[in-house]
Amino acid sequence: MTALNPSYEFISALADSQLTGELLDEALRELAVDEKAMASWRDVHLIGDALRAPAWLADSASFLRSDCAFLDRFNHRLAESQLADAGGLVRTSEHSTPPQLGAVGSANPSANDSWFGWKLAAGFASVAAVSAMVWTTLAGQGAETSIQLAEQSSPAQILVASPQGIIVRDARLNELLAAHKQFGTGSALQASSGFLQSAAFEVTPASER
Amino acid sequence: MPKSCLAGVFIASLATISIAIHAQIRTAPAAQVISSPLSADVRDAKSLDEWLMRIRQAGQKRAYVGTFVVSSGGVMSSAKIWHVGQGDQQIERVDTLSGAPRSTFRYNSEVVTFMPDQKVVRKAKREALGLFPQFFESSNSQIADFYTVHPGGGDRIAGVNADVVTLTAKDALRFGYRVWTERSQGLVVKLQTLDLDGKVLEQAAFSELQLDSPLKMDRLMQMMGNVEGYRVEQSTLVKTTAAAEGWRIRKPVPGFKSVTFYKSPDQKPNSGVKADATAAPLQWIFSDGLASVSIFVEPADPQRAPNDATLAMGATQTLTRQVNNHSVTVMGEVPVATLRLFADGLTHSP
Repeated sequence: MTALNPSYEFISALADSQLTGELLDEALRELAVDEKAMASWRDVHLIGDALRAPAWLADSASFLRSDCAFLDRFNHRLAESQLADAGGLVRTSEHSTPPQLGAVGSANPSANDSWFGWKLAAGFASVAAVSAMVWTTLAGQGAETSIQLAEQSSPAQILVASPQGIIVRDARLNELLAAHKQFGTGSALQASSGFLQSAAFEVTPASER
Repeated sequence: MPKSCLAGVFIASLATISIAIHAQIRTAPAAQVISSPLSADVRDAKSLDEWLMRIRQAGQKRAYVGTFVVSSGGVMSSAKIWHVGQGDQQIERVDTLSGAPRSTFRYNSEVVTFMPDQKVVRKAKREALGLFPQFFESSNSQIADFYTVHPGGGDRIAGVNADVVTLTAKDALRFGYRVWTERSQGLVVKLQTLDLDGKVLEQAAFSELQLDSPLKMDRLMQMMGNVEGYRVEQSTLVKTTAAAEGWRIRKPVPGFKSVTFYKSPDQKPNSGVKADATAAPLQWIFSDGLASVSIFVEPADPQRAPNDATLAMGATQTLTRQVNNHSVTVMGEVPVATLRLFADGLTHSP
């Protein structure tokens, strides 16, 4: 073992940014080769996240479990897909009115040529970032935050996490939107615009991303 | 050029045009303005009825070609439209100019969508609500119960003179509208959907428009029928009733009437949902004459939405919830509180 405490207390010190110089280098080397050390590193963060979580999350064990399961499935699917296709993040905020997806596009003109902004996602987000964002939500950034995670596989899928729950913003929901726009848009005023938008609400095929 | 820049240019152009047109209107002979049917006060229900009827007839009887731009939630998309109306026959072709390439034809209640990138054609036969004159005739007087109408002067859109009317909701259950209608016959040339504070949520407008185009219905029908080289997917939804499927709304949402109810044909009566989760869901459509709400019912899937989850795309709001072991998605051009009333009242009795 090393000069560091064999019971991995150095992990806690590392997490608290207390290690510098040689100790820091040695701790990082240890993490790279010792699986148990890496497991402790994860545990320290998990404990920290749980302690910092708000009451609504701590009281909702089932919510946490379901989202851990969700995260596992999510990571599994990400691992199966090619990293080059990994999607990214779209942040929206939850308040008295629901999140405006379009606002994302306006903040990023270069990626604004898609209705739902998943072109924005492609290319800049890593798998690690996606996972980190999920955990940030679970750790409770507050009830005002909701997060969209765009995973690029076929068919395209956007996972929307909000304090109310997680929904899959996927081709299925787009189908519903298209059906509503095409057949449910309710007046002569909107007949044409609804008809037009039904096409725009479709998922952009993978080949076009 | 990025689309947000285009949006900026578009809005700036509109503002410039608006200023120019207002200047023109101020100097126009009074008789020219009075000749517009809309110059009559549309504040009362009767004139509102006439105005709405005129709009619908204008859409149905005209032949026009135009480019249509929709700005929704800060994102713009556009499409080219060819429309021919002859008697009670209507045909329309809409080609998207942004996003995935799509050519959608609508001939009365038949809708055919060409997806050239996938070499797929989707066919469906369902009435679009805009083609329900009988529904709107009966709902016209109701529209006046829930919306206040204000004439808003004149404007010029896509090269045609237009009259502007604002419809303000009397309660918080629906959005407002600002409508630009072409002056001579009443075709809607621009439409804004306004939130409860009067801010624009979404707008759609012609950027160019050729009225009374020499388009032939036969030619469009020929294009619609040419599916060579495409795989044809046929939607087989059938019309049914909410009662027959065991669904009802315990407490009606003020102003909204049930319009149609569709299901997949393989669904057993009164089962609520079908076995095949990939099939089309039940769709129950409500309308107050201007706004509409669709309730979609699918097999329960808690992972999609364990609790209420809402999304907004421009004026279109979406709420997903589990109801009686079904996954229910309510969406419409209404405030999310209105969707919640639908979801709260929805119940299923197998």
